[in-house]
Amino acid sequence: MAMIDDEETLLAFVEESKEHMDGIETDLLAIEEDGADIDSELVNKVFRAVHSIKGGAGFLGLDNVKEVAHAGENLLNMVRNGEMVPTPELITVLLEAFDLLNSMLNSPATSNDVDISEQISALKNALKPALSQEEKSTPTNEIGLGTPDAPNLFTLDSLDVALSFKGGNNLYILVYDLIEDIEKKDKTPLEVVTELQQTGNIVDSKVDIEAVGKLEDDPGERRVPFYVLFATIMEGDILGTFIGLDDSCIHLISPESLTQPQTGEPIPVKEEATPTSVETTPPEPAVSISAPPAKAVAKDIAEKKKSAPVKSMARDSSLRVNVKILDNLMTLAGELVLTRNQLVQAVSSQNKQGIDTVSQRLNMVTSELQESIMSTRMQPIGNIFNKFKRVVRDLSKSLSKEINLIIEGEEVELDKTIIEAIGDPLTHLVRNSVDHGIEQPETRVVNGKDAHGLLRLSAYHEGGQVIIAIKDDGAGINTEKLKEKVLSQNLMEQSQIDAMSTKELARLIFMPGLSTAAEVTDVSGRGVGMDVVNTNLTELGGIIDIDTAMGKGTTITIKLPLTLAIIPSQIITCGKERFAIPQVNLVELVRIPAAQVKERIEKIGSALVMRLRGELLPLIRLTDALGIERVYIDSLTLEEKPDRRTQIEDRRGIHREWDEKPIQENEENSEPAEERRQSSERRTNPISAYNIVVLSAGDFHYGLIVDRLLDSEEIVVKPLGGHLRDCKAYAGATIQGDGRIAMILDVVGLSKLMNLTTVAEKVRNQLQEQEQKKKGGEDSQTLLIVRNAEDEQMAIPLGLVSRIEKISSNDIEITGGRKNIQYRGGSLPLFNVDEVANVGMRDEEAESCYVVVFPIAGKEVGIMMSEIVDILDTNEKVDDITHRQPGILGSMIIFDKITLLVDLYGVVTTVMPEWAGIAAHSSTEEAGGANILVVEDSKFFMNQITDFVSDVGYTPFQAEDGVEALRVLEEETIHLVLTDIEMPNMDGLELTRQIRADERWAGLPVIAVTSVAGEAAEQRGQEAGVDEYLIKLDREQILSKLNEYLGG
Amino acid sequence: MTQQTTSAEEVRDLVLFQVDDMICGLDTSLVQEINKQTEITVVHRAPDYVRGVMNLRGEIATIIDLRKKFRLESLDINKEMKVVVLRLGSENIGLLVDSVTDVVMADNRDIAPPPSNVSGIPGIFFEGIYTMKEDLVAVLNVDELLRTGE
Repeated sequence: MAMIDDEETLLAFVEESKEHMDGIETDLLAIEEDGADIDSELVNKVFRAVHSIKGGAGFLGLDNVKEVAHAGENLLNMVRNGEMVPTPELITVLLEAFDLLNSMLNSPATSNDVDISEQISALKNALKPALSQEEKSTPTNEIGLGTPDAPNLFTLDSLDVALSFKGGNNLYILVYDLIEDIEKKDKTPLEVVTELQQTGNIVDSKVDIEAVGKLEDDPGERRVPFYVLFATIMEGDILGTFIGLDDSCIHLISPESLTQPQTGEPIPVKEEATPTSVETTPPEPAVSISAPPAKAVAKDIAEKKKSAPVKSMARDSSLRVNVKILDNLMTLAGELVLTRNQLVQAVSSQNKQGIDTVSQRLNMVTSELQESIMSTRMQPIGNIFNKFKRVVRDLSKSLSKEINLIIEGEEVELDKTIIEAIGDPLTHLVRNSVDHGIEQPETRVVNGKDAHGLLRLSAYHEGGQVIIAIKDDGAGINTEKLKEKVLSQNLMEQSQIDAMSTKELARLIFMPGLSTAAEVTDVSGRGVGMDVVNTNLTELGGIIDIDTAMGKGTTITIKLPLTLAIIPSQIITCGKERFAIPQVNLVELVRIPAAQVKERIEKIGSALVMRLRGELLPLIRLTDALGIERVYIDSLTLEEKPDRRTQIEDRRGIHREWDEKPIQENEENSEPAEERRQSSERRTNPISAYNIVVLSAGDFHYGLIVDRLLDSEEIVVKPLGGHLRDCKAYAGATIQGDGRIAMILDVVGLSKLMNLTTVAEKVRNQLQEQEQKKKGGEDSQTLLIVRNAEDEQMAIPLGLVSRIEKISSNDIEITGGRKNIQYRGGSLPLFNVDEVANVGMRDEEAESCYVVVFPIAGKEVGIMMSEIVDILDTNEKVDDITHRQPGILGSMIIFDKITLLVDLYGVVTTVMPEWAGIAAHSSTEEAGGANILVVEDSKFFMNQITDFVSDVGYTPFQAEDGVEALRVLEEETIHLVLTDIEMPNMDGLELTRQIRADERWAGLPVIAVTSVAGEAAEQRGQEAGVDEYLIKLDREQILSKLNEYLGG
Repeated sequence: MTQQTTSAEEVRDLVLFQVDDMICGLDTSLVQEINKQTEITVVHRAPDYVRGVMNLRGEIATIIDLRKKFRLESLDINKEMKVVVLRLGSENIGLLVDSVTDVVMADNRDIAPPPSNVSGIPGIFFEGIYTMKEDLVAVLNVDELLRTGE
């Protein structure tokens, strides 16, 4: 019995002490930060913590622990009294001492064998400068303290004794009898110690085993004295009442009595086995038989020391749980039992409705129970984060860097197992940031940064996951050097490297085998062990992401699941099997109706991609990834049949006009004719829509084509056996409600299996190309490609076109020698390009033709074309010389063919010169003298605009870009600015802003003319201060606006 | 007393089962249970000798197709087939066999070391050959048979 008690006492002490220790480190660092301006509350807290440890350790005979704690306590006491300033050196000494304390507490059984001399002397040395001369001069020999009955009970360093008297303390020796005063009062020794600590300091304590009587003694006279050397501010008479001890058991020690040796006996030296010291007294078997529990404590510890079975304290086997949670669990357990009873009753009475109700209830109770149990496992991430204060402090000191560590989101909770497992990877990342990320203060100052580096550790919840970010404002990762390394170590091909984005390059540091040690400091290379970090985090179900900018810093983001055992998942089917996909990896679900397959899914090389909101997403079929025979569901019979299509974009049954080849039906020839007909329809049947699960595999997303999407469920993860460990495709398995097994897909593994990174690269390349196109795109224009004569391609700026009509040739009427068509209650004059320009003739005999309708002179006219080919964006240069003629503005190359740019106005005004007059009529009167600045970098458009502006009587001035425009504005009197948007040196938006910023030109109208229209572009224009936003070749509109602004 | 000690040392119980035309034996102390349930979930991309996984009262058991392991043609599941479940460390492994025939007490002296191969199957999979009347029983060497990372 006694044994268990002792074990428990020791365990309780260790656990409590560890808890104290946990806080100490953080607090010490805070104390260091405060410097001379001490937060006495904080120092007190640490002091009390150390103090409790000392008290308990003394009681349990853990002398080394006691001594270190004691020395630390002394130092803290000085700090608390403002007699010492907590310098970094001092804190370092303390931290090291507490490290030692911590390690001793981890294995208390062997703690007394640890060499503590170094820390003790460091602590004492740190103390010396603060002591007064008198105190210092006290010889550091040992003083024996004792009661009249038992002199020299305690042997103390004179320094300690002197310290005990500090702060107006009185020193007492308290003599407890473990049997009478403690055991019989239903107290535990630890309780007594705690009680004492509330009123003062326990300087030393010991249990006197020698004084324990022999077995044959009268039991009534047996006593086990427990001596406590106690320093307190209280007076003797009060103390007795307070701690409930008879005055005769309290002995005051006066400071004066210490100046000379108390007795004539030589002062016992510690190492000598004095009859009164517990620690060196070998246990006597005769005593132990009838020994009361408290005595056995000392004995047991002594025994442990002897036999020394190094028993680690298996601290992780116990966990502190909030009582509230336990209460809640209790309630839920009660409810569960209740529900079970109801269920049994309902089943036995065959009450269907009852069963339904109970099952609902059971569902609820179970989820609540699960939640509560999970919450007992949840721990704040601060437990780990706070450790980094020390790591960062020590490391930055040794590297002579100055780093401010900011910690955010300490309260975010994660499963215990995850908390424990991320400690090491995080430490590695933090070390890396401090070591390689943040530069030396001098370097930072040279680069215009604050000498203090900033390291931000933060945690927060996002979408059912926990995100941990480690952000530094250091040098960033030198991707160029990484590239060189990778190439020189032949880990990758040059072409692969070239195709990589910065982000991907940065990820190279996670590459196994990559050693970058040469490029960075000698402590460790960035990249050393990073692959291990990556692997560890991936094993936890985490996703690591890295973001770096040279000279600016690096951010590493880790996404972690809240818990490992139970994860929310999407259940899908493929073939005959069900699979689970962890919700963590799931981005979205996309269903592509059969009819849209051809627009949304295409191929780059041999890889499938899907268009999703303008982005390209690599696609894989789960069937291909797993090697499952593909099936489809027959739309008529709903049976599953093997699918023999090899490509998604193979759209048999839907005609593709650019597909010259006859539709291949050969592979289905073996099927009966009737079935063939049905199967060709299945591409458009709703049942053959594509279900795509968009997944996140770290730095890129991909789509997984699955057969069916089922529910989302919370699944319990079961590990797979060793034979399946090499299967990259799975992260585990789970057992579903019906007892069937569903494999859990490993999203990252699948992407590797299918070599998706290369596809992702290709997709990125394609995107870049598109991006490129878009960039030039502001200056590009949208053209309607048409044909007049069969072999002659023409283009019309789409911006000018109101609409396109298809008309029957029979509907064309000829009135007054002009072709017209009845149209919306009026007549629409029709023109042919070949009437004006020397181009191929349109086939007049054709049954129908297209009419391109546009406005001129306040009315609508149409130009006839035989065919509409396409609409496209191009920034192809216009050649305005070679093919220039009436009705033709110039030419360009489109689809490898010379394409003539039709001058819609030219065609009409050549045939009907009077209409040009109408168009310009209203403006000509006022136009005289108005100076218009035309800003345009394209020579073609410049000529166009200046031509028609001067045609109607304005005086045009030219500028090739914004800079030149501003110069012209300075020199000339300008009444209106017509500017392009996309220009070198200074674009139109900037030009507008500059104009608007200058008072001289406050009322100057600015009209933007551009080839691209769109709300976003217009919006930007208006923000810059543009008055109007018009289409470049829309002469009509431009002239009317010029008139509006200049006429008034 | 002496008699008993000897028999304990020299006699062992063997579960006998059929794989193709071969009788295999396995020490009963290794066998956790013999399961009739053969509802196996296929694991794609697994090694070919892994038939799949099975739900063994809430735990996942990997099912090894002994025929495949012995480079024989795999059989479709039929009524006779059984899963012999072993516990290896913390994991459950089921051996899919054609049928379980008997449990016999075998005298260790009747177990001869295996030849270099048994009907074309590497001898390393066997601990020995037990001669029983007219039949020969190949006693399986579980450690070799279930070694991973090949």
